[in-house]
Amino acid sequence: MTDYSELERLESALVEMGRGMAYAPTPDFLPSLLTGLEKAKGERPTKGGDRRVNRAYQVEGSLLEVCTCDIICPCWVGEDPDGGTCESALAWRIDKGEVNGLDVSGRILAALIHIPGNVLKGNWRAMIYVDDKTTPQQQQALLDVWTGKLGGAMADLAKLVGEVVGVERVPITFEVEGVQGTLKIGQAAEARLAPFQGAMGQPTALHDSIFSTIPGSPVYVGKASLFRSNQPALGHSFTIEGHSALQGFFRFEG
Amino acid sequence: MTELELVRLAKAGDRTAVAELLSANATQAYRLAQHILRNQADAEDATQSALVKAFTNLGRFDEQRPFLPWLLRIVSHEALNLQRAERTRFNFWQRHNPGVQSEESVESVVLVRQQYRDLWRAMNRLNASDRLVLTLSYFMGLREAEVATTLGIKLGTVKSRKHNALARLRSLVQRDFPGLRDEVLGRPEPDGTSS
Repeated sequence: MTDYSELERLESALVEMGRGMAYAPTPDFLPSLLTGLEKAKGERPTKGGDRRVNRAYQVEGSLLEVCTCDIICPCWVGEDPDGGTCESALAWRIDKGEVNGLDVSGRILAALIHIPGNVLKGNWRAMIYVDDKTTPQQQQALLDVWTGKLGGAMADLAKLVGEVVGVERVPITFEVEGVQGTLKIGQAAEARLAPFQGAMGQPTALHDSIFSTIPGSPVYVGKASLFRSNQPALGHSFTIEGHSALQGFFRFEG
Repeated sequence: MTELELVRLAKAGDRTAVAELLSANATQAYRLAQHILRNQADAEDATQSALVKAFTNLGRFDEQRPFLPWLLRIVSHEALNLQRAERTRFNFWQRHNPGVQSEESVESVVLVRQQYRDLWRAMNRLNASDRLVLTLSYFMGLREAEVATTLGIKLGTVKSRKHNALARLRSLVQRDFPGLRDEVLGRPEPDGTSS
């Protein structure tokens, strides 16, 4: 049988609790809201009278990244890499996205990279991979985004690449089981990684770093129990353990 | 100036009216998003997105109806959509750390008394639908008819959802929050009744 007096006491407690709550949006919340409205006014109305942002691309998904630096990779905070260079493997898995109207959901773009010195000085050399289920149209669309042709956050990152030594279509494994990540890029690279965790079990995050491969999002810092890379064009031929690893989520648009 | 006059001016593109409508409703919109998402940054994103949508679709607003429930309906859609997206994204973290985000993300909600902290934690264990109806009813101070408009459901459904959500909250409090149970519901007597 329902005890209405208990429910009434609970209702009173909820009302009283609601009165005791304080909400504090950040100080620039309202100004940024007005800016958003002004921006929306200039956007192209669609047939339904709705307004939609006219974007060339919008992609979102997950990142796995490992490198030869010690933990945590100093490149992310603009410092010189441990050992003078940073040899890395990274992959962006697109959970959902479109490039100029073409659906690229489910696709993976990976890269093996040689960074010759400070990350912000550029001159990177990169080998690009797309997963073997990528159609030629999707491959071109992904390259258009990741080489910066379509602007947005990726264009800033692309400026740091001095040379793309090649583009290959290979089987790519991008898995996250529990907190363990696994990345395999054809026969060229393999990595296993896991994030560090805070006292409450949440992943340890790095925010607002000067450099990022997922601009605009925090990255979770971790350790790679294995990182093997074999790409002669970049001078990669190593298998290492216990080095820097990063995981995260991204949302890019341009 | 009445709300209706403001809405008409805003529809006509009057920026001052838009700003006034915004400042009058943004806090309530943010409050709802905050309750659904329990994260300040996400709540701001959802609120901003919802308000932009609302004000770019003002032409569709029925002026015969109150403005706030219409706006809150858009906010709840945006917040729930964002929550679904975030849940998918963070699925692998939460699978191993269930409840970390939902129970501990009280940092942007100032709850001074321990009793309210426990009540907040108990509420966060409810499903999204239960939390939403309780939030609208008790934290936002909406009447049941306004809750119905906001959620797009019938008045009778609001009543039953609210009752069921409260009953589930009470069960949680009785089972997992003994201190709160004694303070809010009353100490159980030996014969099983509450004091």
